[in-house]
Amino acid sequence: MELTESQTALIAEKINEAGLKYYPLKEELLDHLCSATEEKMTEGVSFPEALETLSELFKEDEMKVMEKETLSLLNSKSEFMKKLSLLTLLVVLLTFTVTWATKSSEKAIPPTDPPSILPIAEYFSTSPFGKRMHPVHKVERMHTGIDFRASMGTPVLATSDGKIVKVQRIRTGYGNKIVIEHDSIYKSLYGHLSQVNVEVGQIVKKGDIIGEVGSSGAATAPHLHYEVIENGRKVNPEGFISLRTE
Amino acid sequence: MYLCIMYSKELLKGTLKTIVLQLLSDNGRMYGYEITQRVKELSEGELKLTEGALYPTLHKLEADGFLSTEKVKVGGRMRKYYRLTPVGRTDAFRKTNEFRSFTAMMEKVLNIKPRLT
Repeated sequence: MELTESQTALIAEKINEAGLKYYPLKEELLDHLCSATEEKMTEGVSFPEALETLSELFKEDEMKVMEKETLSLLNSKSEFMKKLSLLTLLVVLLTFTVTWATKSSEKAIPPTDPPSILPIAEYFSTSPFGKRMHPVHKVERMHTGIDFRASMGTPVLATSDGKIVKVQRIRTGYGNKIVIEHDSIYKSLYGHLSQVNVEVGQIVKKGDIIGEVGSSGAATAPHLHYEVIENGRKVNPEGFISLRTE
Repeated sequence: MYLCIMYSKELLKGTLKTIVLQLLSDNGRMYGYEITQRVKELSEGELKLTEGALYPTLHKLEADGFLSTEKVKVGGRMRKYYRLTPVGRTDAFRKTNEFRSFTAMMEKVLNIKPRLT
């Protein structure tokens, strides 16, 4: 038993009279009422009679209550949404914490300007960056830094803020050596020291005394071998400092 | 809540979702009126689901992602069918199992025999 279009329209009219506003519910109730009516009519009840008994079930108030209940349930946050918003909150917190942690570790190696001061206050002369005859090995070699001839024990200074990333005490090569990481781009190296005042991991400020001039390693006289390393490549330190002109 | 003379509201509260999810699990897709009729039939008339309880619950379950819907034109009107989503299927299984173990436990607890001393 299926309702005619006009019978369906009549039931739709009844629902409209109840003043429902939420369309998905109205549409569904129409099907519900029509289905119930059809069942009654299959039992042999006439359409008007069926409608009469059913309208008892679908009082205007009840429909309104149902609509209100539906909408309030839909507006209340679902468990899933609660979990989702909790998760979002966690992610935001985590991101914040990570950002904060990154920032505070950046504080450990603060972004600085490149090593910009002389690594030594007093010196006699310099030997420049570039190809030269090696004083010990007596062959032409690339000199990857500047040598500062100075008295034994002259203070050696950190040329910019940074973190000590390497301290080496060997008898060959650069001898007693310090490497400072200034930021993600620049490092500086100090070789042939007689004394090292810092240790790996230590944070230093520009101008801090980190060691003393010596002749440790492959050196013929007390001097400071100073290098600037830019993105892992040794560059001419003269580009960063102004040497005293004699 | 449901219209039901035999059981108290308190007892029935919270079982509506279990019933709806389990029915859909057994029958695939169903529409609202069909659900009320099936409940009446299965409970031999003892449990009569009111529309006022059913539709808000269906809409809520749909909004929570447990049910998906499809509409089919029937005569001069649209019929909305409900079906379990994978999440809904898992939840139906969980709720039914929970309820079964609950009733089994209640049975044990209430079935206390007088102590033979």
